[in-house]
Amino acid sequence: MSAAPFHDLIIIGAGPAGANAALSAAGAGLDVVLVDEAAHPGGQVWRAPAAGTHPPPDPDLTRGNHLRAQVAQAGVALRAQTVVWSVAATQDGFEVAIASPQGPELIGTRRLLVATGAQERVVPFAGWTLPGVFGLAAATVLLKSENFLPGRRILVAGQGPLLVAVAAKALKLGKAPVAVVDFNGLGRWVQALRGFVGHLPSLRQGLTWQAKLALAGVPILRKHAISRAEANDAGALGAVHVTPVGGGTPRMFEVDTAFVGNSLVPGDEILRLLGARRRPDPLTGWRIEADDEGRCKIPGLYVAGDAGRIRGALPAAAQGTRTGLAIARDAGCALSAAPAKTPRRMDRFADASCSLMQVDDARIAGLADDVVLCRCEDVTVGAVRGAIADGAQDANQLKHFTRLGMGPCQGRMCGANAAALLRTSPGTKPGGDVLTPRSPLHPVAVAQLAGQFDYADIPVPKPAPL
Amino acid sequence: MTDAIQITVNQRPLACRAGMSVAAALLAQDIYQFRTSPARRAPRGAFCLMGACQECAIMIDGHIQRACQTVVRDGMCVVLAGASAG
Amino acid sequence: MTGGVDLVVIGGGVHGAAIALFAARGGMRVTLVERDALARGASGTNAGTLTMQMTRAALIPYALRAHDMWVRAPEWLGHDVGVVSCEGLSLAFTEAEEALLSERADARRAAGAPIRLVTPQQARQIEPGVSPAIRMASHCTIDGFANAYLTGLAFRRALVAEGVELREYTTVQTVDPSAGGYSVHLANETLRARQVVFAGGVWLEPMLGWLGVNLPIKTLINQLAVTERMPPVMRTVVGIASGLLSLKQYPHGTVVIGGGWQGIGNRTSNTHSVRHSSLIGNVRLAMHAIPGLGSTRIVRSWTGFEAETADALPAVGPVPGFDGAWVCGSVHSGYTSAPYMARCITQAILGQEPEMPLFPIDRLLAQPGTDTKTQGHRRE
Repeated sequence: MSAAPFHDLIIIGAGPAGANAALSAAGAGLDVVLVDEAAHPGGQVWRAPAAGTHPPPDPDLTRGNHLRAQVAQAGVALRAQTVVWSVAATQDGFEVAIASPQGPELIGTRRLLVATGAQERVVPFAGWTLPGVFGLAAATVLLKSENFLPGRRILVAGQGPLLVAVAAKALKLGKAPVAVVDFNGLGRWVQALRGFVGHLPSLRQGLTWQAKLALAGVPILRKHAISRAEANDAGALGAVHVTPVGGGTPRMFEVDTAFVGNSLVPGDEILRLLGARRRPDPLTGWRIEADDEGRCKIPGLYVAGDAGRIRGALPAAAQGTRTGLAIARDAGCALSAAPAKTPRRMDRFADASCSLMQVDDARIAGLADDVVLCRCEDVTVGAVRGAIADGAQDANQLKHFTRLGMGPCQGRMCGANAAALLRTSPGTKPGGDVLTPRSPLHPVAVAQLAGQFDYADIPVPKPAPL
Repeated sequence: MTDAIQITVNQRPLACRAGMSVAAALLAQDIYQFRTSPARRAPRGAFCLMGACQECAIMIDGHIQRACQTVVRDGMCVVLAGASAG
Repeated sequence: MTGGVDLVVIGGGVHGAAIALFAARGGMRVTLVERDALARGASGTNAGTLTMQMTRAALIPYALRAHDMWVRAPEWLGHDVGVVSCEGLSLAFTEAEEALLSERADARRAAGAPIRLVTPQQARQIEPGVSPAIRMASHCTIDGFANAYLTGLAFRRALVAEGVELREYTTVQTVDPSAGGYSVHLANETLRARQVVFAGGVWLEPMLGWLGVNLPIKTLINQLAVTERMPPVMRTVVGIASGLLSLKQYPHGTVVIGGGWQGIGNRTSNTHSVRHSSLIGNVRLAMHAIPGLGSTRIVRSWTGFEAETADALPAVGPVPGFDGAWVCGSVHSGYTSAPYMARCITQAILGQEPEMPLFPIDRLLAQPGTDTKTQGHRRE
């Protein structure tokens, strides 16, 4: 545990951004350690299929396989199936804390690149905690890794490009969705088309999926949203009620499985733990303060990909390459090639995707009191409103007053929605809507944190005064 | 060919394919409820399947682990607390 | 003195909030000024342990009375702070720790704490979750814990009900004596008060500096961790002889791990963070004491400042040379004793004789050319 090994660069996250950064930085001569929780590089979007699974050909699978081959050939030390539970700034860089069945390990690095990707944001509704309600991105994970979706009667709901993708893939697996429920109207999609022409293969793919769904007779309810879900006799999902946005008569669908997702938000906990700040972003809600090449204001700290700003996989990959080269340059490596910028058409494509995933604060402010906001601690919207009435002015006070965000997900599921409730409540503290991130970044097993040890070797400080 | 292995779920045997995540193995058998929430004792199952939400954290081989991030292993012992299997 | 209040309390931790509450109940018009929100510093982030076994012997009489106040919080505070009153065990795993434990149990018992030494078998009857590796334990029938993060909510409700003017998120620039009282300068406003209380925790040193008084305060950065909710693994407050472990399981199932392991931080910048090696050491100690913790996960760790004077005894009393100016803080095991310390000093502020002696700071004031450390009675 002591005498930590020291590296030029540690990269957390081996998705499109992190893995490409590792390739370019290692290519420039840096000693790079690439850490990821999964067994193989690829992240969520280019994830490797589980052993023994053979999903159908797919552009993301092709890109992922190519990336994995490149990483395997490059001089990158890959630490797979490795959970980073904390990071801290040190005098000469950063200390990265890792836990594994072998016990705790602290690794030092001169520079740190955070490429931890995105997390899904779901607009809650009554019953969204029932077994059988899954995230929309969860469907893509199961499809990519297992070529499988659970359920017999499936409904897909929410907003954004993933809706059609998941519905079409369910159809291909012989599980035609009972309905696709889209928060956006057709007008928003038409607006977004101008940006989607920035990446024609993706646009073509999307249109093909729409056509297949139409051909199969899968109803797409536009400008609709799930208003509540009901349990069946076993306590799992039995039905959802779908209501036109802005009000109207609900329709009920008997389903056992619903995939719901509204937006993506940066997985920026590590960055914020180290002091990086969020800045408002009109399109994506917020982004992490960093320059064009991924340098944060904290010396030696870098960000690439969706962890800093939601852009999607292809821009993340390009940014990863650029940031990897920028780090190499900062480290004094002589570079033969100047890093390329992300083509503007890719930016327009990303803008279009993000425009379909916007969640206005008013939607959260309009939720009924009985809707669960914090899943871990079962804290309802009403309890949060009660805490604000009791004088809570910022997110950390909400945590103290209600236990919101104190559970094992550490506010990942509720943080953005609690922030919206705070922002729309008078008398709250401007800029105080974000929960302070804490170590461990994910819950870490006591047994792994402790590892094997002798009592005599615990460096117990000197006794407190009597 | 797929390797068939066996795990136990609440002491009942469950056949699954090697390489799957525990969450996928359970869902493939229509087991949706993994646990109950500690505050209200409400039924819960897997949700995000990418390791963030912690809803699928269950007792696997004597330790609380996320079912979506844990690959099945022959003889693995899975306990779904408070869950009616299926 | 026109338009002023009777008392301005600077610092909304448990000391300041309790003084404001008691003073208001004593008939004073009170304003409480806090830079953040109430009880968000040490008072809201400490381990909430209400124990005698980590309390300095000299403070045991205060801590016993304070423990009783915490248990009766619904009566005087009007709100529950999640207080659980239970037994406590302090453990010894080595011969050296046995000696330390015996010495400390004797001193605390002499000061009035109901502590006795017990055998490993007895200890395991009291606390079945405890490790079989123990050699001896000291058992106290008066122990317990509060839910520290509820402190701010509880005091906020009580202070609002009592008519105390709350100024949260308000920074005091400086304080100076003015005719018949004090001027408390805020960014765009000056508050006037007959009396003023400095209850600023580790910032007592810069606060008293406003009056030209030099009270050196050492800053400790205490580190804590909490597990996720788990089935019962323990039913008492568990510590070790050196005082560097505190463990208890809350009714909702989480286990809080503390003991004063040091994080990284800085009073001037008001930043503090977890030291990885301290967390690992603390968790090892916890797992060694209660092996059942090995099946759960740590969900969160955090740090908070603790103030310590040169002799590690409280700074509770008048500010020498400044009539109507008071200081309250640095109470070593401060959360446990806080409500009783606040009661005693408020009695003095109200012109009454305190129930128990205060801890005047004259002994601690740094004179030019004097090393403050030589004045301390710290035994180590």
